[in-house]
Amino acid sequence: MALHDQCIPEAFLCDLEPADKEDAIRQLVDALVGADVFTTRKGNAIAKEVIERERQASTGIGSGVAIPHARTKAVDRVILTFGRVAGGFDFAATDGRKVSVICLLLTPAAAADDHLAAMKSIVAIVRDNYQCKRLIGCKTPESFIGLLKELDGVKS
Amino acid sequence: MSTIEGSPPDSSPGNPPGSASVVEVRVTVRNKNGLHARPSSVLAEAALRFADTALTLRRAETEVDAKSIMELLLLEAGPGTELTLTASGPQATEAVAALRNLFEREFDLHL
Repeated sequence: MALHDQCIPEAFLCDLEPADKEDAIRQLVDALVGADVFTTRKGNAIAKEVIERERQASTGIGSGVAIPHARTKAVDRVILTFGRVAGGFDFAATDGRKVSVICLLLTPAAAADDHLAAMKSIVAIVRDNYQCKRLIGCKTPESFIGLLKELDGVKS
Repeated sequence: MSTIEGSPPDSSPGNPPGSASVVEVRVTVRNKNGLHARPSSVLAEAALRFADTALTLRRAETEVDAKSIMELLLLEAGPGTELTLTASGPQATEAVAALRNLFEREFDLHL
């Protein structure tokens, strides 16, 4: 499925100023609760799962992007939301660089293939220097969605 | 695309010890969630130990560097996916053995 279809642009946070990466994850999950994607109770469980996952190994895959994620029983479809931190912040990324785009990916526990497909699509953007720069240059939900639509081959 | 032969390592008999060789085997993703982020990082970390040996994984037309987590994620290799692991360099045999072992042990994650 196309990435832009999985996005919740109402929950994108384009002016994040997180204390640390766990705070960033909590803020992104809270924004999904605020957008009525799931309940506060589910949001708390999801934030815990994502943070737990992050403690095992950083999802800062390099080039200024992190993909914190969880496969969780608390969602029944793939959900994607973005956070942007101007200037970047420490995410313990594999390349040691600061992270300025956080892409939170939630997939249903049973959907291993959907998870791999979404992850692959995001990674394909990040590993393309030109597209990655464009992604990092997005400053509004509209610009994120516009870029994803273009990369998904959708005319807006 | 060339047809891939079965598993036995295929270093040419004439190679003197320590010289470059190419070894190619098939591996199968056995863990139930496929080659997601953590297995990819385990694999890339193991591959990086063989600094002088090039290691690639191929699925159909997609061939990626086994030393890069990002590239491994591009394979989108779900459970049961068969991949071709190719090593080229002085430690090709050891590298293939180490990586194949990780696939068989489900990357030691058991998740």
